[in-house]
Amino acid sequence: MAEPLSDQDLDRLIKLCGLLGSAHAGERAAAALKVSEFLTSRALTWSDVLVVQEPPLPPVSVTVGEREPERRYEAPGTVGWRMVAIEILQNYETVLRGDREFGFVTGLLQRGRPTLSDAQEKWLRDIASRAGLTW
Amino acid sequence: MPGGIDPIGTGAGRPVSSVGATTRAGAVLLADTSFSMSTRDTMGGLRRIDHLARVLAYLLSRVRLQALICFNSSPQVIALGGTKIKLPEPDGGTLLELPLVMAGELSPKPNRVIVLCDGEVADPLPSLRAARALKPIPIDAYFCGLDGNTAAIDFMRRLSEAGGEGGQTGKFKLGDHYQIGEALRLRIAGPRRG
Repeated sequence: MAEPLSDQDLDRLIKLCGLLGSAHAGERAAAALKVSEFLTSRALTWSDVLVVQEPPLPPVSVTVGEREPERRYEAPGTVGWRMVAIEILQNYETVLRGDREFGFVTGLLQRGRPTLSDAQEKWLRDIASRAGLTW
Repeated sequence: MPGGIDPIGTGAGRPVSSVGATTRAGAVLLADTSFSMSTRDTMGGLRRIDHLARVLAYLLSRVRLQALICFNSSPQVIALGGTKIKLPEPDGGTLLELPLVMAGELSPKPNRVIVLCDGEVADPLPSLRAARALKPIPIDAYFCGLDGNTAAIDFMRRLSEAGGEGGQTGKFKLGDHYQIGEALRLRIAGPRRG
């Protein structure tokens, strides 16, 4: 790859290119010749001066992660799992099968975590479905 | 819908370009992250999604994409531009119509859409319709699942044909990170200069 042009050389090249739009055919021809000589004397090609060289990209690491909980459980207009859990405890306690399920639902609320594991979600949805609730 | 689409809550009505895509026209990669991508069917025991992550690490370290859209039951634009990118865990079905529509809604329009998918999509007809609507943007559709899944391979061929001229179809083994990464790099950037 060719070295980048110095500021001085770049100025000169820009001025020469400006003359390519001259109203006088002789000036245009002379400017074209000068530009060509300019490139040859510096071992440059048109591609070297016209194609923008992008800087190399940095190494990118790609990992696989959890889904975003906010969108999954807190989408606007939907009732979050917390509301469903509270509703079950307040109004549908009879659907809970024993102390284990009661402890599970209260434990979810007490821990105060924003997200559920897949197993927790499955279990809570199962309980909620018995109460005709969803989120 | 003004300002872009709102595919199942991914952008809440904002223009698609504001949720992760870049503002320069380029290639858009649609990557399957459906539940089947959790399959471990290669030597070494990695899941397909882990192989995909390696392919993307190779690719994104070498070329700029306009957008990376992961799709399963719903599409998700992955933010590009940094050095750390996170793919969603494999989940859900394989619905391709919305990601194709999203690609077409990007501003500026992409110059190429590349689809990587490991199985049959659940919405073939709407997807083909969305692919036809992308014309003249070419679609490269690559299958990267089990060799014997002729229905899926055939669908990818039809998907490519439905897009603009210059699209390509083929199949890859996800475990061949370098081969896939380099093939995609060539499709996006062309041969190296000099």
